[in-house]
Amino acid sequence: MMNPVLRKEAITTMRSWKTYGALVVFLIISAVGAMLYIDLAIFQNHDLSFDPSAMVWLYVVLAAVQMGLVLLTAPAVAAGSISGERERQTLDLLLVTKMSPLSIVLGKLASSLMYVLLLVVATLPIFAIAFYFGAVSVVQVAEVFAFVLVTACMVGSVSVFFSCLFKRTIVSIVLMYLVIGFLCFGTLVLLAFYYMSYDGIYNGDIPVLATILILIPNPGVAFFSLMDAQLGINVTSSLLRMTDQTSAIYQWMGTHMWLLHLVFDLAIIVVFVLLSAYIINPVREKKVRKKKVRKKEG
Amino acid sequence: MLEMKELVKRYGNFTAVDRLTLTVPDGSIYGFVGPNGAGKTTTMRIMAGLLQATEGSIWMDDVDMTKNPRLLRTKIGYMPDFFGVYDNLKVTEYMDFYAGTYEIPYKDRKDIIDGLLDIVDLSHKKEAYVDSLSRGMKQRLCLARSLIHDPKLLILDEPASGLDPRARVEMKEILKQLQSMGKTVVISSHILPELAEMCTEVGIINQGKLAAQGTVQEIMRQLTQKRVIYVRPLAEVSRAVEILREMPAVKEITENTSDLEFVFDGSEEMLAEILKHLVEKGIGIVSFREKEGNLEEIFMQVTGGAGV
Repeated sequence: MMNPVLRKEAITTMRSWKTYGALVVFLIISAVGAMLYIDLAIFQNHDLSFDPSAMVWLYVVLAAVQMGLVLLTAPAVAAGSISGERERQTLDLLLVTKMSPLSIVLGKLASSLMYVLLLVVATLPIFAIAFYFGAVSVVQVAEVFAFVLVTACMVGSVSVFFSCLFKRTIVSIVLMYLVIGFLCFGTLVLLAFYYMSYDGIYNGDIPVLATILILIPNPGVAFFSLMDAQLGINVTSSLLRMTDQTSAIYQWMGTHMWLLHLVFDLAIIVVFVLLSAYIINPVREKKVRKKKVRKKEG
Repeated sequence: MLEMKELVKRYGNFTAVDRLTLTVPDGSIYGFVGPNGAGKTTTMRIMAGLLQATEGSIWMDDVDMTKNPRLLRTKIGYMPDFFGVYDNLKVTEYMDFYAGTYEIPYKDRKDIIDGLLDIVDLSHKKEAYVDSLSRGMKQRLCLARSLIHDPKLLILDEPASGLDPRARVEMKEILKQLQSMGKTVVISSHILPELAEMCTEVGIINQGKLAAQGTVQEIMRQLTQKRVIYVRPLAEVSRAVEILREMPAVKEITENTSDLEFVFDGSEEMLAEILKHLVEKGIGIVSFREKEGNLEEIFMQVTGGAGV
C-alpha cells in the first residue's frame, strides 16, 4: 500500500499553482543558462568557429545549474513538511492514526523528493541539447540525476528534521539555507583557515587526508568531483593539492570525492530521518524515563 | 470499559492532572466538565495517545493502553478542540487519506466513506473541497474522519465549540445515533445544559482532580443529600400543604401561588404513598415530579464558581 502521506501530498501538490509556477521558473533558469552558454561558446567566439567538444561544458553548466536549483528548492519544499502540519493544526490528527512517526516522516520526505524529481526530469529536454552534440552519454546524465537526487534527499532529511524541531516553517527554511551555505562555502573557508594555520606553523605540505575530510560534506566539491570522473576536466584535483607523492589510498579518495560525499549523504539521511521520527513521536518520553529508571536501578 | 487509574501529568512543578481515577462504561456518553485549565484537554490528549502520562495507566478491555499506544490508536477516534484541514483536497479524498493511515484496504474504502458521510449528512458534499466547507460541516467531517476505522471509543474535545444552534443540534443528533450504534463517547463541552441532556454520565474535573462522577441525578443527590419534589395541584394548594404536613417523610414545604415543593426523605414506596394519599383526599394533581438535577448548579457548586 502506498504511503498515505505521499499519496495525499501528490494530490495536493499537483493541484497547487505554486507547483507549476516553481517548475516554470526552474525551467526558465535552466534554459537561459543553456542559451547563454551556447551564445558565449559560438557567437561570442572571436573567429565565430564552433567546437562541438565545447558542448561538454554545456552539460557541466546545465548540471551545475540544476544542482544549485535543487539545493535552493529542496529546503523550501521539505522545511515546511511537519511545521506546516503543525501550523495547519493537522499534525495531531495524523499522530493519532495507525501510522508510525517514522512512516509519517518518510512520507513527507518522499513527497518532497517526488517534487524535486519532477523538476529534475522536466529539465531532460534541455539536457538533450548536450546529447545532440554527442557530448555526454545517457548513463552519465543518469549518474548526475541520481547524485542530485541523493543530495536533495540529504537536504530534505535535514529540512524535515528542522521542521519537526521548530514550530515555524520560516525558521526551518532559514536554518536550512544556513546549513547549505556552510556545506558549500563554510567548508571552503574552513579549509582556507586550515591552510593558513598549517602553512604558518610548519611551512610544509598540507595533509591530504585533512583536506579530504573537510571537503567531503561539500556538495559542490562532490559535484565537480563527479564531473571530473565523468569528463576528466580536473576541477577538484588542484583544490585537494595532490601530488605524485600522495599515497594511493588518498589518490583514490581524492578522485572519488563524489562517492565519499554520497556515503556522507546516506549517513545524514538515516540519522536525521530517525531523529525526526523520534521528535514527533508523542509517547517518546516514556522510553526516556524507562531508561532513566533502569539506570537508577542499575 | 475505559478505566483511568491514578493518572498524573506534570509539566515541571505544575501538575495538570492529579491522580485522576475514573471509569467510562461501555456504550455511555460521558460528559467531561471542568473550568478552563482544569486538565480536561490534557486528560483527553493522554487518552488519545498524544501525550505521555507522567504516572498512572489507562485500561481498555483489560489492556494497559499506556504501554500499547499503537493498539490504543486502533480503538479510539479523536476529535481535538481545534483542528485544520488540507487545502486542495476533496471531501472523499480527505476521508480516503485517513482510511489509508489506518491501513483500510482500497476495496473497502468507498462503502465505509459513503456510510460515514451519510451519518454526518455530508453525502451531498462529496466532491466539494474541504477548505470550502462551513465550520459546522468541517466539524462533522472531522467526526466522520475519527470514525473511519470503526473505533470503540470516541474522544471529542469541545465538538460543538463555535457552532451555531442549528449545527449544535445536528451534532447532538449524530452523537445519539453513534451511541445507538454501540459507541462509547467521551465528550467535553462548554454548553452544560446540552451536555446534561445527552450524557449518561458526567465527570467534573477541577484543578486536575475528579471532583464528582456519576449521573447528573446521582451527583445532585450526593451534593445536596436531599430530594426535592414538585407538586402542582389543580386547586387548593393550602389544603394540599396541610395534608403533606401530616406525612412523616415530608420536610420543608414551600408553598407558591399555584404549586408547592417539599423536601422528601424516604423510600420510593413512601413517595408513591404520598401521591396516593393526596389523590384519596380529593386533591386533583396536575403534576407530581422530582426536581431534575441541573448540571450548571452542580458545576458551580463543585468548582466553587470557576468559569467553564
